[in-house]
Parts: sequence; C-alpha cells; structure tokens
Amino acid sequence: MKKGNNVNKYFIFLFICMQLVFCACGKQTDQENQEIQTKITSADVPQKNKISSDAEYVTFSYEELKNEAAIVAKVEVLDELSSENSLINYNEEYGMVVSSCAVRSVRVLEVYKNNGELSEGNEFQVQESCAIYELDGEYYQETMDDTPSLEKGETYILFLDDGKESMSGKPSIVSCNNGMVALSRPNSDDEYFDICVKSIVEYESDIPEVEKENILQAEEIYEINSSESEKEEDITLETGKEEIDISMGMKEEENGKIGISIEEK
Amino acid sequence: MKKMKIIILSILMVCLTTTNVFAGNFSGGFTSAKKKYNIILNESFVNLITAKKAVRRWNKISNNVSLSYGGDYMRNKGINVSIGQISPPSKTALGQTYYTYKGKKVSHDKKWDLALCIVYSSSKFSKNSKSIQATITHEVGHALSLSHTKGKSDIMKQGVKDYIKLSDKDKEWLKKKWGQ
Repeated sequence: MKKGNNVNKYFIFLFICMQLVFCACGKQTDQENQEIQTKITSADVPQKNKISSDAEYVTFSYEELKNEAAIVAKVEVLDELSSENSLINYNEEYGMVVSSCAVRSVRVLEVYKNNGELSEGNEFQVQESCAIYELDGEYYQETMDDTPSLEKGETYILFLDDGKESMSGKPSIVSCNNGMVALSRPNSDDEYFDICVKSIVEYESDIPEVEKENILQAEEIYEINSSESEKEEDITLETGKEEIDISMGMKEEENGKIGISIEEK
Repeated sequence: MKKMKIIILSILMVCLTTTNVFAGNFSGGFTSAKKKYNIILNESFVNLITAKKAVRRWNKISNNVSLSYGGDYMRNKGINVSIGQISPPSKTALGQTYYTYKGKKVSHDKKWDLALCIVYSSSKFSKNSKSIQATITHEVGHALSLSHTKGKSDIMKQGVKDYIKLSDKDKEWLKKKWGQ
C-alpha cells in the first residue's frame, strides 16, 4: 500500500511539473506573438491603405543635385520599412497624419561626396519619404508622389542633404525620387532618367572621358530603344551582392540632346 | 437576348464614363468641384487676402468648378488649406495634399470627400512671395484632381515657381476634368 502511494505521489508531482513547464512555454509564445505584431511591415498593410499623397518639392537637374547634396554615396540597404523605423506627425486639429518619414539603415559601399563623416563600410541612417503606422486600429503605408521605398538588400546611389531640416534629424534623400538611383533598375524611373544615366556614367563607368563629358554636359537625356542607338558602351554596376553588366546605347543629336538606352546583358 | 444587350451596353457606358473622368493627368477626386474651402494660416507666411486669391485662381475657368470661402475647418468635407503651420518632413518639401473619404485616408487615385492642402513652413519660402502663392494654387489644383505637368509656366509643374498665374495648359486640364 505504501509503495502504491509513493508511486501515485511521484506521478502527481511529475504531472504538476509538466503543467508548469507547458504554461511557461505558452506565456513565452504569447509574448513573442505580441512582439511580432507590434512591428508592422508592408506585408501587413492592406492594399487600400497603401497611400500616396500628391507632393510638391524643389526639383534639381543633375548638376544642381550634386551641389544641393551634402553626401553622395552608393549604399546597400540593410533593413526593411516598418512601423518601428517610421516617424509620423499627427495633427489633432486636422485629425490626420500631416507628415511622415522613415529612418533606414544603410551600409556605405562607395562615397562620392562627403560631409567628412563617412567612409566605405560605415553603417549609417538615412531618411526616406515613406512610412508605416497604425491609426484607429488600421495599418497604413504612406509615400509622397508614388516614391518607392528603399528595398532591403538593394543598392542605390543616394543624394542626401545634411539632415538639419529633416523630420528625423538624419540625412534625407533629396526630393524623393529625384535623389535616388536604384542600381539594379537604372531605367525604372521615367521622370528622372537623366539623373540615373548621369549618375551611372559619372560614378560607375569607365567609358572614355570625351563621351563621359558629352553625356554629363548634355542639355537633355531621353530614353531610346537599343535598336536606335548609334554606338554602345559596356558598363559594370557593382552592387553589394553582385555585378550587373549593362549595355548603354547612345544617339547624339546636334541640339545638345542625347538618346540613351540601357539594357542588362 | 434583349436583356443581355441592355446589360452589356450599360457596362460599356459605365466603363466609358469612368475612363473619361479619370483619363489623362487626372488621379482620383471629388464627385463635384463646387466646394467650400477653408484656410488656416501662419500670418508670417502670407495674409488671408492673398491666400484666398491664390485658391480662387481656379474659379471662372470651368462652369463646374466653384470654390467659395467656408470659414471654419471642415472635418469631413471640402478643401482645407493649411499654410505655414506645419514643418516640412525634409528641406526641399514645399507642400503636400492628403485625401480622406468618410474620415479615412485614401490614395490620390481614389474618390475623396475631403482634401487637406498643406503648404509647409519651408525655408525655401519668403513672406507673401509668389512661390508661396503658387504652391497654394498648386496644392488646390491637386485637390481638384490635377496631377503634375511639365510645362515651364504651368502652376501644376513640380518645384519652386516665381509666377502665380495659371497657364493655358493648366486651364485646359481643368476643363478636361470638369467640363467647360
């Protein structure tokens, strides 16, 4: 009888221990779930709440952009846009967010213009014009003028201001997509195609100096099909992860305009 | 068969109408452009009379566009213009227009019942300057569904402007959107 009682006590003790262990695991899981839910990413935002406002900002030609920028650098983006790196200015009187931005982490691959603080390999933070936030129980993702958010893992040439007048205090991309060139998609921006071309030619190419100067000094750069080009130059774009070989076709006109085609080889 | 034809024709009519309203430069918008507007401003940026003139530049172009001063901030309807009260998110941001529909923010390609036109307290502006006036008119143009254009003298062109009048192109796009 005594032996039976001891065995029973043993099993009861074991049962209680197991219950305690399972409860602790459950609590930890709940906590982890809560932590995950507070960080909202683009995937959590329903399409109807992905919003672009109409924005007006100062626009720059290529030379003006280089002068306006305190920093010009090739960077690799290290993080993704989320509610954790977003800042919003909510105005009670208007009942809405009246300005927003995100602070993104990037690693410097090359520095072309410097404020004296950056060098290759540095990690630093930049401000972009997109943001993700929660309001009244709904998730929103905002941008200005359809400007795409910096993508994690992608490489960009960024023209950045000094950050003194930016919402976050960090260097901000000058005038939304005016000041950003996505190296893996150099011909994706119709509006600032000339900025993309001139940035690549000046900072990434080894094309002959005479042709380089012709392109950089061109009054107008416009996009053409490769079939229309009169000559071609090969350029290798070095991103953080890979090399991208492109062929840049050119067609020069007498009025200072140059037609450019860009094709990945 | 007759019923099918009527249904197909009706669908075609809806598609055509939608295409006309939202074609070309136009994004989303109000269902009507006869609107009250309100102005909340920082007097060190621009005075109320000048600001009202800048908004009303869009009047007397199309019979279907009429902007009249409403006074107080309207929480769920109309055009609210905020001038010089809000700091820009970055150095080169001049203005921004947000839209809501039934109290919730919507994107610029959707239907809206309220537009908040913001002219930021940017260091790029000086008091009562033409550039502030042009930005006011520009942002209200967005509220009237006009997108950016590229003409050198367009009010709807992106960037700082030293002129305040609407170009012929600006007027043409307004009439295309809202009628003669």
